[in-house]
Amino acid sequence: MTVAIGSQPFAFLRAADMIMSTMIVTHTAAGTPVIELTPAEEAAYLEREVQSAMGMSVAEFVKAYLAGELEDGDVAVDEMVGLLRIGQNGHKAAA
Amino acid sequence: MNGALNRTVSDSRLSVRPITEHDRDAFELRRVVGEDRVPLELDGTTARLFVRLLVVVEDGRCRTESYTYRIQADESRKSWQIRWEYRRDPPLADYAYPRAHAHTNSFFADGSPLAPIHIVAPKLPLELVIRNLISDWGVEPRTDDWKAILEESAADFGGLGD
Repeated sequence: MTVAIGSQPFAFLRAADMIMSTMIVTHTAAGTPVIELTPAEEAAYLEREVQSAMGMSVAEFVKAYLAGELEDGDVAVDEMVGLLRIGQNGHKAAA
Repeated sequence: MNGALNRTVSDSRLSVRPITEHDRDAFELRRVVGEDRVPLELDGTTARLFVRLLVVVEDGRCRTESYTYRIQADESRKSWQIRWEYRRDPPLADYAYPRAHAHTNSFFADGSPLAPIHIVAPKLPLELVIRNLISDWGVEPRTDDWKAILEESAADFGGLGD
């Protein structure tokens, strides 16, 4: 089942699990929401997350992290490193 | 995973976000409300559990690329109390920390912060964190069968380690 949120009723969704208006949401047979983002939405999502957590852009964050200017043990830094997948899944680890 | 979560400690559900890149399929799992990634609500406590998992599909099998499990006093990231983190590959070539580790938001006896220390820890399934929430963090299980549910859910991971 595919639902464009904001265009039609979606009573089967719990209010707490509703997704932003431009996202497309499908559900697995078990009811797990599946959020699909376009590349532009994906980029905007990452920018928003990093800006909110660190007060800087993705590019600024990556540059600062790779330069050793951020504390790896910081809760927000660690979360953003994971979100941006730095060094993960074929992304070559920085020298 | 949502099944085990919802049958044991929470009504909150994790969402799945497919990521397609580098010729492999990947999936990010986390709870989303509105536009925000938010922690899971838990029965019997105002504490929250932030979960983010990144799973990749390789040779038909799902493998965990990274995770963050974070117990928080409330909704805010800054209220974190303990967190477990894992990265299959190091983010930096000279990354010296254990790829699976924990942090605690506390202090040594001399008053210096413990939070920056990467405490070595095993790679953990979410189900083991849920068990810890019940055993030590005041979270109320929804059923007497909670341990069996978690054990079954974690079977692919080797169970709960008992």
